Amino acid sequence: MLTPITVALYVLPLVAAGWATVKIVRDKPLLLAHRSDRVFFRFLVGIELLVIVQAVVGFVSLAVTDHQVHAVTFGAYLIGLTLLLPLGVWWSLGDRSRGGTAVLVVVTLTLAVMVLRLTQIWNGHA
Amino acid sequence: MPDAHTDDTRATLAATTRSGPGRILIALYAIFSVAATSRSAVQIATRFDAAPIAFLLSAFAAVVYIVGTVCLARASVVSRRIATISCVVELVGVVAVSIASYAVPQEFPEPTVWSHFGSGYLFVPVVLPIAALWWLRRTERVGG
Repeated sequence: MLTPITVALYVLPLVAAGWATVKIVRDKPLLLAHRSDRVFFRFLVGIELLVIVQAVVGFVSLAVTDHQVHAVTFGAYLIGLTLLLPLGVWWSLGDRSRGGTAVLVVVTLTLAVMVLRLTQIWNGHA
Repeated sequence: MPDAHTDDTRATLAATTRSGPGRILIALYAIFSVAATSRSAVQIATRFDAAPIAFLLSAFAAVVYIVGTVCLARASVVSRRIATISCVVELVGVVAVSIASYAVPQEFPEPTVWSHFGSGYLFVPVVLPIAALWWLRRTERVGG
């Protein structure tokens, strides 16, 4: 299941977390009026699209594989991952202070960790 | 005192609790609610006999995180009080389960959210209740 998508989903959320951290350090709120912030949100949308593709690939792989995978946990991770960014971004945008931007750091790091766990679950660690 | 004033105070208290560090705390509590709930549900449903104590403690942790998330997010005077109590329970729980996981490792063949001071979760479980209690205390006087 270690596809290029999965590798991208280790790296891109970390880039997003770094990006958000820079915003926090410089104490600049995320505003859609800023061009760079619109680019950032498109970047997050891109990550979310990859997460959705990964969910589709994941469920198909689960259906056709013949090796032992904890299907319930694996499926729960695939679905949970698709909800993480939309909910996290919504919660983040409710507060345009550093706190709200820090939510994006938390959410993107959680995403990377969950993708790592997803790979471990696929490889047989429950 | 006119009611409008108290309503304003309540709204300010809720908004302040939910902003800044509170925003991060509620996000973390929500993530841990989902993580602990799904983890304990899978553990209890599929292999309860392997480590019943550890799995029941995971389920208890899940309940505490849900209470924490809801009460911090509602941020009314009453819910903040409930959150304070649940954070104390959480802190005591994390410390007790962590000590137990070192003292009687045979009861914890599989890690729970709270064992080993939450080392499997970057030690966030032990930091979370302390940070939440600090935040609740700091925002206590807002709008009053």
